[in-house]
Amino acid sequence: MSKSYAVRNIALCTKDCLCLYVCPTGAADTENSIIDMEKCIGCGACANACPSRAISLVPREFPPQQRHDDEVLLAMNTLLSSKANQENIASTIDSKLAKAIEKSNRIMAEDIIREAGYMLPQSANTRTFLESQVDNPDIKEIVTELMSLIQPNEKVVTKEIWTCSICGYIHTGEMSPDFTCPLCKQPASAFTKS
Amino acid sequence: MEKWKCSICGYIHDEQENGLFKELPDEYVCPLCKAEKSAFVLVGETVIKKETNTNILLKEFYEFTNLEKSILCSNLARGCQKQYLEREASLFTQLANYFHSNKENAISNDFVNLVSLNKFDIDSLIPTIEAVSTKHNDRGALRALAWNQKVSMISYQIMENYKKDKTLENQRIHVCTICGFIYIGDSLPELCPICKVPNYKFEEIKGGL
Repeated sequence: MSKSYAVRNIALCTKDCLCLYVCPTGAADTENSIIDMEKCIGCGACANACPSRAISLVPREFPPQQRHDDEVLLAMNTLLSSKANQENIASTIDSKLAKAIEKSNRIMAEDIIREAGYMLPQSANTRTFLESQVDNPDIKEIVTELMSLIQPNEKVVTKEIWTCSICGYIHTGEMSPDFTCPLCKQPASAFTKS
Repeated sequence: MEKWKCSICGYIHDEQENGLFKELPDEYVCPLCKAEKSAFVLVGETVIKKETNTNILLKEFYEFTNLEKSILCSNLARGCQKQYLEREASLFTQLANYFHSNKENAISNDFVNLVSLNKFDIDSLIPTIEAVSTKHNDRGALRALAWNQKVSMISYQIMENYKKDKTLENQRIHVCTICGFIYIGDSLPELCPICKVPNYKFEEIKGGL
């Protein structure tokens, strides 16, 4: 299997069809304009020949998204929550401007969540999210199909969640014996794992 | 002769060509992004950053609400579309719709609250997260925050104007589908003033009146 395969951006395609002339496997010749990724050998001849630059090569496997520090991730999630709240308020107001504001907040929130570790559908974060939803009978089928279609590009590590039984403080990650609660100073033994 | 720069989109008002900046009427707005006159800064002058409260409480642990799960899934649907994974994109869209139909009640249904939440983002939340991201030298996060800050500022101005003049709704409204920038009026800028994407990526908001 080649490392990459060709894709056609239909919005840019001007139907000059030079891709058909140069493709050695016939992968570009399809009735729905989507290049057949099974037949494509990733040679790039079509992308080079295309006068409208509608064809590009994408890798079959994407590298993992760059890591962000946990502190940044939590901070970004705070903003996500604010933009989501604004989208929600706007959705209750009946006006054209409110519709625009609802949409605008959704787009900003999507951008934030992308930077907060959910850029790639193939990421471990996406996988963990899908796994956490598989027990919901309403969406079980959709989630299961997605998990079978999308192969993760990195190892999925499940983060441990520990809750302080005294003050409710939540610690994510491993629990070491000498850990003390940063809020109420209780020892590690006061924490329960969920 | 001086040059003045729009701090939102970077448009340059050159006094040589466009006349004295100080003589422009108070209602003057940036021809590209429609930011107010006060958003302009003198080119060459060092801008002193407004002192912000960067000590506000950020979350320590995070669990997504249903609406946020919907945002997560509509984002992943876009991620699949970019990779031309049509089936996967459609499944994530179905999930986004499912979570959206089960979303929590809004914390308010008041336009005034909407404006004050947005103002809080601009004045406190975004500068705080910027400080955190700068500390960790996180350029990706800083890029997203820069767009968010600018889009939020334009939205704030639009909402303030709307409070005074509801007829604003009779005009055409477009939203940039990449950064969320809202543009009111007929003559769309060629490129989005914030994220610089061509304007065919804008979506017109229909309905309302």
